[in-house]
Amino acid sequence: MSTIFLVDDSATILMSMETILKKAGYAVTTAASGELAVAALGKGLKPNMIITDIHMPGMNGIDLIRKVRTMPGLQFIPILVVTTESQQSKRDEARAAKATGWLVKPVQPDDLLKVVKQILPKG
Amino acid sequence: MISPAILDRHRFPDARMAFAALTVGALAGLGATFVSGVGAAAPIGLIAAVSLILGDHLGERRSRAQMRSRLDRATDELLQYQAFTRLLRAQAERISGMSGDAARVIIEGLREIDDRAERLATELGNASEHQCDAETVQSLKIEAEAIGARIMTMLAELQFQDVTQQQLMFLSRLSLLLDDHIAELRRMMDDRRSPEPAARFKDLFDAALSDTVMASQRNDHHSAQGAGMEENSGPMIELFADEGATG
Repeated sequence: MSTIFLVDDSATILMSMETILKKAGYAVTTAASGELAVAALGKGLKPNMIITDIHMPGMNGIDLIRKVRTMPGLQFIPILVVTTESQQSKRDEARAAKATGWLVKPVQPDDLLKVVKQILPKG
Repeated sequence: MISPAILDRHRFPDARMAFAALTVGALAGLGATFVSGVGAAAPIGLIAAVSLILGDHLGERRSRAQMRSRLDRATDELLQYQAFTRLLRAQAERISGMSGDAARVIIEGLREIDDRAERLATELGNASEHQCDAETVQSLKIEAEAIGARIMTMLAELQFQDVTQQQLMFLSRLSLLLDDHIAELRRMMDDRRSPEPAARFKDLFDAALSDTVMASQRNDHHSAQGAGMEENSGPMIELFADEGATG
C-alpha cells in the first residue's frame, strides 16, 4: 500500500483529504507545518508521495519542496502542491523547485484521485 | 519707537504688517500734532494703532482655535474608524475560528457515517442467503456505497472553510493597511507644520494586490479600481511532468 504524506496547516484540509485518500486505499500520514514535515522525514518517514500546501506559517510549501529535494532518498519523491494560490509566478517557483504538479483548491475527490493514481499507478 | 523684533513671530506671524500699522498710527499722531498743535494727539494715534493690532491678533487666535477644534473633531472621527477596523478584524477571526471548529466536527461526523455505511455494506455482503435474499442484500449494499460516495463529495466541499479563511485573512491585512494610513493622517493633523505628505491611499491599495493569493481576489481588486479585467489563472490541475519527479 502506498503512503501519502499530507502537509497543510488547515486541519479541515488535512482531515478531508486524509479521509478521501484512505477511502481510496492509500495509507496517509499528516503534518500541520513544513517544519513538522521535515522533522518527520528526517526521522525516517519514507512516503511514496508528498502533498503539500503553499501558504503555511513558518516554512512555506516551496521551501519544503526545496528542503525535501536535498534529503537523502527523497530527491525524486513525487510532490504535489495543493493550494488556493493561482499566481503563475508561484506556479513557476514550484516547478523550479522540482514539484511534480499543481492543484488549485478546492479540489474535487475524483480529480485528486485521478492525479494521485497517475503518479502512483500501483495504489 | 517699537522694533519688529519685539513682536512675537509665533503669536503674531504677520509682524511686518503689524509694525507698518503701528508706524502709520504713530505718524498719523505726529501729523495730527503738527497740524493741530495738540500735544496729546500722538499718544492717541499710538493707542488706536495698538488697538487695531490687538484686534487683529485676537481675531487670528480665534480663527486658529476654530481650525484646531475642527482638526480635533476630524482626528476623533479617524480614531473611531480605527476602532471599526479593529472590530472587523476581531469578527473575521471569530468567523474563521468558528467555521474551523464547525468544519472539524462535520468532518468527524461524516467520517463516522462513512465508516458505519462501509461496515453495513460489508456485513450485508457476508449475510447468508437465509438471513436475507440476494436481491435485497445487493440493493442495500448499493445504498450503503452511495452514502459513502456522497460523503466524499461533502468532505471535499468542506475545503471551502480553508478558502474562506484565507479570504478573511486578506481582509484583515487590508484593514491593517487602512489603520496605518489613518494613524499617519492623525499624526499629520496633530502637527500641521509637518512637511511630509501622507502616502496616497491608492498606492497602498495597489500594493495590497501583491498580498493576494487567489485569482478571485485579484479580480475583485481590479474591479474595485474600475478595471474589469479577468485574470487568466492557469489550469486548476497541472502536472510538471517534464521537470518534477514522478513515481
